[in-house]
Amino acid sequence: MKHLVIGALVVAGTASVAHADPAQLRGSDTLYGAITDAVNQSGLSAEIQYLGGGSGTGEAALRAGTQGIAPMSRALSPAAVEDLLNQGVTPVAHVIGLDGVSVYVKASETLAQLDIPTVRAIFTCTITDWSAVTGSGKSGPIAVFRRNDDSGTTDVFKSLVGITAFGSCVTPLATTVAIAEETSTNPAAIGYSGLSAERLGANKPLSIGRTAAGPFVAPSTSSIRDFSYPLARRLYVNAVSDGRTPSAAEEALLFNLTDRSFMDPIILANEFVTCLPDEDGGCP
Amino acid sequence: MDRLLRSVVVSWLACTTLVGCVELDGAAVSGRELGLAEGDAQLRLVHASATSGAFDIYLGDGEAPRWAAITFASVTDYVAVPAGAVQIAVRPAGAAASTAPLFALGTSLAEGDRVTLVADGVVGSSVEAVKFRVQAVAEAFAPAEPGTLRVRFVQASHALQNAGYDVGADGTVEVAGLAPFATSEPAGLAVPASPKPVQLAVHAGTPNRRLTAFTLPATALTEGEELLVIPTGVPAVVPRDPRGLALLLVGRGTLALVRQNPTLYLLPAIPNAAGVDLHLFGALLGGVQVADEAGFGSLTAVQVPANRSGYGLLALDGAADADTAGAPLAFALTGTLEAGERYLVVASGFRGDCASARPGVQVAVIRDQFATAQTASGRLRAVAAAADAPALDLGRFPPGDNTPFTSIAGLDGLAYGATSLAEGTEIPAVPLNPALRPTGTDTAIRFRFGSLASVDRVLAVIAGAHAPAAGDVGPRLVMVKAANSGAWTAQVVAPPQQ
Repeated sequence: MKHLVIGALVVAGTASVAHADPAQLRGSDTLYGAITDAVNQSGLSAEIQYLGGGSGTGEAALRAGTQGIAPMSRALSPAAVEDLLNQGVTPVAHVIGLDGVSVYVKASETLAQLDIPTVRAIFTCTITDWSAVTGSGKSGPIAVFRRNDDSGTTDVFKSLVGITAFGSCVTPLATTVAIAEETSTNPAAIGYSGLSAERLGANKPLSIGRTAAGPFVAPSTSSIRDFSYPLARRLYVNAVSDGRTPSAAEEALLFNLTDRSFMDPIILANEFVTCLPDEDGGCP
Repeated sequence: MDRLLRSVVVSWLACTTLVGCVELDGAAVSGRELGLAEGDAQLRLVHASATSGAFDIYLGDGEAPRWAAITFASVTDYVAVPAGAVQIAVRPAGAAASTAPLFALGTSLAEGDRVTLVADGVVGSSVEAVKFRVQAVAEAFAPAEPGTLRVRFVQASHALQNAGYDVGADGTVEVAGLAPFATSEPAGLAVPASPKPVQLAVHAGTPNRRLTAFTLPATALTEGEELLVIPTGVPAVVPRDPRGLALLLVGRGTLALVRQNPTLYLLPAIPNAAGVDLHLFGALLGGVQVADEAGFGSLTAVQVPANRSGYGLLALDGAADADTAGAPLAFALTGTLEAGERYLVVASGFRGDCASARPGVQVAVIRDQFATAQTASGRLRAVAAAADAPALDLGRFPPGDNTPFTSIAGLDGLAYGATSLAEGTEIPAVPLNPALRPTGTDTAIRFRFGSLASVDRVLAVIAGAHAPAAGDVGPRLVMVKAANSGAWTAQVVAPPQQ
């Protein structure tokens, strides 16, 4: 109740600066559902419309000064931080939840685990046939799918797996839904996305090991919270401060996004992982 | 004398070249005025864009730059130009004259005008509020009264909002409310000439509050001087960074880049002292108490004038009564404190503990030398300040159950008083789970601490008593986050079982 009252006051404070059309906010597609829910539950849908578009679009908007906050599924890039600092702006990263980048295949496949060097080999097309993948139990060309380059999930995946550039055998798709649909129907397919995408179809998330010797860790709440799952990641709202400040509506949304009593239920509802309670360490 | 001689040589060299650019060198060189012919005006340029490289400056439709390779914090000589319209174009140094300029400016000069062009903002930025520009500042100082000089502020820092300037740092803001790229009154502020350095406090923001302070050199405060004080750079980066907020002083006899006064972060880490009083002594400061009964791990920030001789630091036992000061714990000299720098000052060791022969209180001064370039990883520097501990390895437990103590390269074998790599060691952005292990043993004390973000620079101070007596603070890590801007913060981290 206290939260609702504060939220109502903040929203009331923004009423005088509200535009006829809601401001369009760009950022992570992974967070599309969560941020849209947060906008609606904050009573800010008249002020803000969340478009998604990929973390890269949110980062670009921060750099261009057209947004004061950007939901992102990765940290700001070093180049973006440098750019903002040059502008006299201090970037502030707020972790609002956790996620794992899930590597998955069709649920009926026998493959259960992969080590990161093999994942890297598949996505750089060094390995192109399932016969070279231990545990796949089959042969034939691998159909490899990835998100487009605006995707924060893709940035995180490349960073954690150690990929500089995808191989030519990898097919980019525009949305995580498209990848999940492909892998749920195509026995030769492999793809990746945030955890929330797995249930869009009959997909199987693979356990991941840092090396072929393991240990192989399945994505779970505990393995993501302590980062023992090698592809665990944070979900951010990156904001500007000092030299530039978010708009009143953005401030109101940021207030709620960083209030765990407000945001944790939304994080859970969107199938992400909440941080530990603050007294147990909070967001890692 | 060496500086003066060098300045004269630099000035002479500059005068013999076509370009006529005077490079920054302390506070004793200046742009050179021309004897004006009838119908002429004077023009010079100051490069005040701290984020930008060198420029070539073109006047009119000339095919060669009038000033070439002008670097940040330098000023050209004045040149005479015919009164009337003049076109100014700025290109990156070495770019062909046929390329599109970074900025083009048309201005009109009347006979006898004296104009300083100030190049500021961020090259390449499309953000209206910060993008690169050249301002034409007409010099129209009022005559200086005897014993005074005139000072005009030219806001070249795009990040200083609602800036105010307090000459003397006495609490009176003489010039207030300057927006980025604004200038103060053309007549200039009358300031007493001074044979000694003078403090200048800068206020900013809404509500307006003191942001930082500078020491204006006496060489810039001479009678009759007409001084442009040009804040440049941004407060969002560390003050020693070339892009950091600084003052460019440009006058008729002055050119100097003045960085912010140094800041000391005082950290008591004395395991058996409940509170410590800290006093600083020195020229330009006098004597001042800067901390009162500061507890273990509490951080006190104090910005002081730069001082080659440094300051004396007296630590007193804070457990005093109303009539007597506490017993002295230590007296130490900080050593040279440079403008633009930040220092962590750690008081460690044990208070009055002769009976057990434990080491007495020592003071260590550690300059912030973290790498400023952004990468995907934060950086950590270890400071060994546990006086009774053997050499220690600062390592970590990787994520997961029953993972082994894992060394961090460069953070092994830290004896009391040692520090690790000055630029910091890159730490992956996963939970740090730091741990301490006596070098050469298998027994580690585990601490709980989260991740370092890519922008984080953390001094991990190994502190506390490792063989604690009753009442001592036991082993601790004090994680001091050296923020780019604003105050540093300290978090005392204990092993989970304590």
